[in-house]
Amino acid sequence: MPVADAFETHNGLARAAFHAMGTTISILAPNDLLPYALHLTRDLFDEWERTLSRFRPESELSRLNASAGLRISVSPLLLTILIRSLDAARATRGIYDPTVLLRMIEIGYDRSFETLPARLPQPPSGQRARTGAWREIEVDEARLRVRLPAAVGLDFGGIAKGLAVDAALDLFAEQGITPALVNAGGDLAAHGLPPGLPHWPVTVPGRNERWVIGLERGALATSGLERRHWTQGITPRHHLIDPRTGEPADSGLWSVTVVAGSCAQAEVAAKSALILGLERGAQFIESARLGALLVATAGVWSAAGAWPSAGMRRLELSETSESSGSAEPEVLE
Amino acid sequence: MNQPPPGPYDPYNAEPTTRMRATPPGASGSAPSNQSYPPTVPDQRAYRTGSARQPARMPRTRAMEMTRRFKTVLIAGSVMAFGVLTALVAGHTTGVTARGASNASSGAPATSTPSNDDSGGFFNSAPSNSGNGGFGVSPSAPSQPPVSGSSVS
Repeated sequence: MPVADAFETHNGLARAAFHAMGTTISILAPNDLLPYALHLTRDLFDEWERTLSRFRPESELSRLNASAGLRISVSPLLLTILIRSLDAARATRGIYDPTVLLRMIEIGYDRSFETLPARLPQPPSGQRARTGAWREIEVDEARLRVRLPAAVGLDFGGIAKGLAVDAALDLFAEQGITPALVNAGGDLAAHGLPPGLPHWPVTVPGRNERWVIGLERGALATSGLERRHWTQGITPRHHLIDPRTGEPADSGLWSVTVVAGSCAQAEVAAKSALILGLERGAQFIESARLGALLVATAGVWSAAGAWPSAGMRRLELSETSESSGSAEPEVLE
Repeated sequence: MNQPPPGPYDPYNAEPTTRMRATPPGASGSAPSNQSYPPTVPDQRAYRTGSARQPARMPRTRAMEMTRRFKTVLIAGSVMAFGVLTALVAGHTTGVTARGASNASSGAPATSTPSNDDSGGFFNSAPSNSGNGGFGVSPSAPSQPPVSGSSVS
């Protein structure tokens, strides 16, 4: 993995970035600790990608998916991610579903998104892969053994990225690397506070604009339709499948950004709220005691739960070179 | 010519008396022309004749037998009705439980909004990297330029 530029920012914080899990991973850490922080983060993301990527045939996840129907041994890492994803599925009553892999492949998302053509041929009609099979997964924690139901595959997707961000911050905390912020393609979490600031000023996306809010602690994640969409035959597709229908979600929402205690929580909550739609998504955010910015396809936004509506400032173009909503972070000036 | 003496009155065999006679005298055409009677139809006449009969008294043994049978049927019916109702209630309870279990184990999608009560700890668990747990956001808008950003992933 090539290391992107590491450069100093002000107040003793520095930034480094690299590519992993199909996106850009960037970290902000104290100048003197940045090399060590970068080393820890790269190793962690490298190991997680080798284990959890569904696009790598040699990954442990791919082997597990190929062994559906059989009881096989798995590594502690894979088992941990699986247990957390099943927790998330239960918590959302299946709106978050880690077993939509085969359906995702049917609608065309069968390779890394960077290599996915914008237009795909219409698939032959036939039986459609089922969803909701996470309820039938057998997990033996003591023996590190797992059995997937036959004809079922796992795709951890965003939750793996969120858990990786949380794990990186755990490592930083253990190693005394603080303050720090880790951002994996827009899913970010922070530990401590930047020197001289009462919070981390971070951007959140809208339909046609961006805002800045102050994150004091915790994590932010956004799910939306802006990226990872394509056409299959004449049918527009995107990657957020509603397990209730087996089709890409059509809830009227363009994006949902959630603030939560951990990046994995924010990721799962953002995806679930987007699938549920404006009203029920907001109810869900409130019942989970989180905060969310829900942006409708028409561009109108609304806040739910603990979202700081009054603490939003519209981002001016002069403040960033990446006003298009890229995962690349803005530079602290 | 001597007439036999009248016997005891037998309500089942007695001839209608003049008072009971439904057919007016002369109805066959011998009535004086200045006397009018309401028209009487044969059925009415028969009814009036029948209503005058009293049912035969049922023998005591037969009545007791019928009562016993009735009680037996009543008790058996009650037991059967109780059994049927119990089975219906049990079936309903089992069905509801099975349906709930089926919803939990099949791929039946959720139809209600997920709530934190069902979270199984996922949204309740505090992150280990944060000493305070949970999250915090500034109630006032930051004046500083952003240092990072969340974007659609």
